[in-house]
Amino acid sequence: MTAPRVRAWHRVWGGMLALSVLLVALAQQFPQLGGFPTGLVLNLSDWLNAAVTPAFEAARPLGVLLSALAETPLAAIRSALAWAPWPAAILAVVLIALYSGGWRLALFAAAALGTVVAMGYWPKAMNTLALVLVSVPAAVGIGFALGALAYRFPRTQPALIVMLDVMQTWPAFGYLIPLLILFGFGPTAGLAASVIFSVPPMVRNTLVGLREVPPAIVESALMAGARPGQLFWQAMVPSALPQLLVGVNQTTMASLSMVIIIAIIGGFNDIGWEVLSAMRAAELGRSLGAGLVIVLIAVLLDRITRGFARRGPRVMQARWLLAGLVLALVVALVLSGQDLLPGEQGQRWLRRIDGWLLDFVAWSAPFFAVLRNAITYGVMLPMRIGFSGSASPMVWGFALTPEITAAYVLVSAAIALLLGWRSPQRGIIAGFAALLFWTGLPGFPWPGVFLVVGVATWRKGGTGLFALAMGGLALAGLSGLWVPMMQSVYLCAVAVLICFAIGGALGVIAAESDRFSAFLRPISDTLQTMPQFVFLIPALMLFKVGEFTALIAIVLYAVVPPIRYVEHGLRNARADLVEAGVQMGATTWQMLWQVKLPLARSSVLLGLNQTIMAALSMLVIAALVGTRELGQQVYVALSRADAGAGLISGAIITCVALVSDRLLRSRSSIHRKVPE
Amino acid sequence: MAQASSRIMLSCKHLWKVFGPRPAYYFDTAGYRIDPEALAARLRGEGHIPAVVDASFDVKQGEIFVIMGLSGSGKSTLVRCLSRLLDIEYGTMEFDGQDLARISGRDLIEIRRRKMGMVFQSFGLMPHLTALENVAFPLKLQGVARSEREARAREMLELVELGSRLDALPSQLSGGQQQRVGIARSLAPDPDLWFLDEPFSALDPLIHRQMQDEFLRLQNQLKKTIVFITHDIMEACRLADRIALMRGGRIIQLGTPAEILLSPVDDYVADFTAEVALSRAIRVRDLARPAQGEPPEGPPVPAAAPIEVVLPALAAGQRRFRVEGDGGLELEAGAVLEVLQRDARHGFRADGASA
Amino acid sequence: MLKKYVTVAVSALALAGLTSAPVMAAEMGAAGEPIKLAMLEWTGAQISSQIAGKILEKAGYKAEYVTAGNYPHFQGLADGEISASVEIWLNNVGEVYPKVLAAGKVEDLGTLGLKTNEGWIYPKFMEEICPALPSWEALKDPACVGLLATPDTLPNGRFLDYPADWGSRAATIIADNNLPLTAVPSGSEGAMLSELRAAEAARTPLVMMFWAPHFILAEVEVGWIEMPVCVDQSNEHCIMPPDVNKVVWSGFAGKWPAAYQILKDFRLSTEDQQKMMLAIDEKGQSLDAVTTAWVDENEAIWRPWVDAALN
Repeated sequence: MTAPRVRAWHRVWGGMLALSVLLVALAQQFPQLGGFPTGLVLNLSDWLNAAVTPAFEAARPLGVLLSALAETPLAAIRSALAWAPWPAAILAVVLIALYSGGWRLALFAAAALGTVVAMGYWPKAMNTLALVLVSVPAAVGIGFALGALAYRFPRTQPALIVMLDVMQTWPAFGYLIPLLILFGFGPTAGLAASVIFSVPPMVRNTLVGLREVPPAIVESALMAGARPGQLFWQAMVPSALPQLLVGVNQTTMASLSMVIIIAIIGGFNDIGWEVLSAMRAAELGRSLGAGLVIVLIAVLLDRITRGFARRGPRVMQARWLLAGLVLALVVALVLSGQDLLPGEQGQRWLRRIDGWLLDFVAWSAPFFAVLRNAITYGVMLPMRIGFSGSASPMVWGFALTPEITAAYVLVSAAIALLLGWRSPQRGIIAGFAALLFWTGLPGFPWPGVFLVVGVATWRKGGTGLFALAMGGLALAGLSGLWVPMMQSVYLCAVAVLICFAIGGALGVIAAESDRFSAFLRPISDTLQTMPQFVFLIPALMLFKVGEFTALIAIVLYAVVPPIRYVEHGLRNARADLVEAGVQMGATTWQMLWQVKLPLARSSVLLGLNQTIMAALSMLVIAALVGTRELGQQVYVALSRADAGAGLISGAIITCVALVSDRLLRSRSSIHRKVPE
Repeated sequence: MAQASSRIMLSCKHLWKVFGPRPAYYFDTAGYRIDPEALAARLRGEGHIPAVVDASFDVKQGEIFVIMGLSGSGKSTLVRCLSRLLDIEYGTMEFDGQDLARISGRDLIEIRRRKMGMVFQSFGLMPHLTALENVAFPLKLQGVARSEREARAREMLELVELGSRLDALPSQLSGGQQQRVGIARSLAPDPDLWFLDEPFSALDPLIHRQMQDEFLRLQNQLKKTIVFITHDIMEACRLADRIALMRGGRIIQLGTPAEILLSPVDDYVADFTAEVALSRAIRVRDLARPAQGEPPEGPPVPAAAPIEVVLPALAAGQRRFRVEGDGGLELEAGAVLEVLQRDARHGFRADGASA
Repeated sequence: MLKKYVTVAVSALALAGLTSAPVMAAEMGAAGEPIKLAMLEWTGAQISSQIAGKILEKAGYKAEYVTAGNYPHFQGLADGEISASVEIWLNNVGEVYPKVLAAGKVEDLGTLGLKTNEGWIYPKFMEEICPALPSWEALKDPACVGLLATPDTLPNGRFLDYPADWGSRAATIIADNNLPLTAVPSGSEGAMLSELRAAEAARTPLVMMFWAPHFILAEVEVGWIEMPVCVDQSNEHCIMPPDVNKVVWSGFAGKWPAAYQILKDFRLSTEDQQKMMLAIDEKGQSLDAVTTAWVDENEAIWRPWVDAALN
């Protein structure tokens, strides 16, 4: 066997490793190499406030106008929904479901809405629906217009794509303050946040839809003598309609996920408000019930919009639907004014869940305490304070003597060299791992972080990405948020590792077993649509306030993408190659590790990307259980009404998200769609 | 196979279409003066793709003008230049007394609405419209009232024998049926100039012939001026009054099928046509000459029929055949035999090459 | 609309200028316009709001309840989107409230009359394992501190502090008294309640910052730690019971003069609020029913406020 060729980039990374080792060693002597030097911290948020606050206050008249524009239809829809007696409203929705998706969907609609009524959440659910019915058309309209303009002017597309990524990754809590200044107190600020977050999928789908209109359709319309307007509205838009409806569907889902954000501001007495109040009172039953309402509305809207996106025969004709809706209106007129809502029974029943939870907590506390301690000592502390911090009598029961330090250095150097002899790449990775394990992620010397991230982004993404990454790091350092940023990265890194271990395994099993897959699917759907606040309560009771509970909350949400993408990748592995593997006599394990997983590589990488995005998006919510990272900074800024600080913390989270996205994306394909 | 009049419908001179970063740079308004080959070579060398190189031809009223070539030869680009789906860099396209290359957008829309029709390889049907609505679509764009345009669309669909599938969506139709809808649509405004861009290529080979027959039947009825694009030499020979053979953006030979088959200008064309069974592709009228002396005996043979129809009689010893029509034409056995000998040589060479 | 407000406000002012009697009946003002009362997240504030609203209705006003987040709602008050908020804990107002108060956009109507408490609490069962409780000295006992220790805080005991965004003095007080405790921010009120409930259920030791009145205190039996003597009496080093005040939009007095008087007089006792919280949060009765019952039964309390304002 010959030693593998040492390539240029091996030398680059080898050099980086050597430099990093040097930095770590020096950091023992010069603490200013460890954390970002406080002397360099600038009062960025004050400067930003001085610029942002007057600007938004100056724009206030415009905000008030928009506010009025948004709140007029909102009030109308809200009072219409509040007026309609629930039997009539359910009848109408069931008919629409029947038209869109057939009998099964109609049955589901009836059951779901019946549950909402029984739990006593009907009026709040209708208020939520009113919010969605205003924010979705607004987001769809804006998204379609932006998408169409971007299609017309292709030069604007790269900038637009970046803007969309920013809109989707910037935590909404981070810009609530400026929105409040602009729009004043009321649902409009929340609606605006919701629209900002839910516009991007519509833009993307519009762009894809218009781009993928077959050229023959465009040409045939042109040859039929279509004017530009006719070409667009009568040929391109109808042809792109299925894709546009996918956009409407995704926008609706995104909009529903923002219901909670609207409730943070308040003013609407909706389901999001109920979730928040229940969370505040730490009542699992109520928050579970309210969360379930959101899930049911989400699933219902999802299936109905998807049903409309489908082309083909319908169970009933449009005119029958219309007749049915008229009937529902008649029912509404007959029943209106009567108090038909059930009493407090449902709410009381929900409260019982809290009793069960407390019984469970009392019964299982010792077990969960052990679990918590094991993961805290074994995984979280080493990643946070590193071997050098963990090796203390308090944590691991032994002190960090010079002998132990020397042994650590020798062993890790030996492992790195051994691995490096066979493959330089593995040696370098092992070296970095040993170094990180020594310092802990947040304790890695800051010039080293700049160096490593700089080289990685430069090589993978060129100047643009490099500038973004360096800008983000500099922003974190200069605004005094270096430690919270590193804490965020650390928390997300641990969460992503755990998600991939658990989600990957579940995805593998789901790919092999249809029954398990069918069992897992509704759970995944629920984990992704249920407001995360709901999971915080049991997690808090079992694991107490702190990073570990934050980790659990993040994992619960971010575990879904690896499940989906791993299953998707494995199931769609090319059949001929799999058959070839079988023919060569591969065992099940060999099949998995040596054939299917490598084939599913791009899907798995995309799943990793999505997992990171999901984990980052949970940071702000995880802050509610007491963390020290950027999400917490966002909250602190929110409570101080410090627009600048909120914007800065949000911007850093966005930078982290964009950089990790671009780093991974350059490896996996960009245009893959989410598996259903 | 309609008889073309001598009136010229579309006259193209020195058409150039170039793809690349700045094609206009190479053509100033005064016109280029250098050799087309040299210019094309320079364009290729400087990162451009000359897709149509100095194409000149006339299309006569009522004729089927086939542009034929392999993929990448520029034939699809050329037809898109003729319909102004692409703008040309240089040249003139005279149609109906106007230079198509220079008319305004408004006039172009008007011409497309009333005087041009086009059929596409991948049909280009609107997926959300029924067959009837698709055919009525061009009329709808013109603002024709619903009842009127649907009556016309129904008529067109009956013409292509789809009168029973008016309400079907494109996804519910077979490929052949979809293309019939495409044909009906392109004919709905009753255009003078009809472009067909590889209309049958996406279809199952088994129904090619059926669709070709259908097309010929339609043309006999409608007598349109047709520009037909194909990569299939057999199809070209069956349908064409004249063929323009393209290679690398240039028209390398222009003539009747018989001229191309019997007198290829170079080895490329010869190779290209080698596979064609001449006895089927050459038609009686291609070899016919004015009758000399006594009119031949026996039943007349159709002028448009392939010469293979005379083979049984030829074998039986007949030497002269009367050609249908009042032109006083005859077909002489020697001419037929000469063609059959070429056929035999081709077959031998093809076998030799494959051995 | 706006014109009408202005006319009403102007006439109210004009009237005030004309009559100069020391005790005077206030004008109703824009009684047709609903008075928007903030419904904040916690039950206590919702009770206070509902009762205030129902008393205003008895006086002939229309009341509307607007759910609102604690921090954002100050913006609403400043803009007049929310007319009044009757239970504002002045220890938890963030940085918006002082700003809008200083700018004269809101007006403080004085105390609601709740007797509040704030301090360090522990679940009552802990007195068995740390016998020195409720004295703060118990928190110096290594055995007791060891029970409170967690991996995050070793070797110190864990002290559950207010969420980071509330601002807390616990860390200062711990340092002042050299206590072997580490303050861990709790993130949210829900997190604090979850911990307290779980601690009670699983009998795990816990010491945390808390306040009263709060419905959880009816559910979980807690003890209040007797705090050490403050290093000085500043807010940084000393816990003092917070004031709970009523705050209205600055235009309130002009628009609804009589309502302004009523709210100024409005008081609610801790005991009453505590009882209603229990009925709502523990017995599952509706907010509306409970507060209506209070208003019906306590006319003796609120009637004088209404009469004073109207007659």
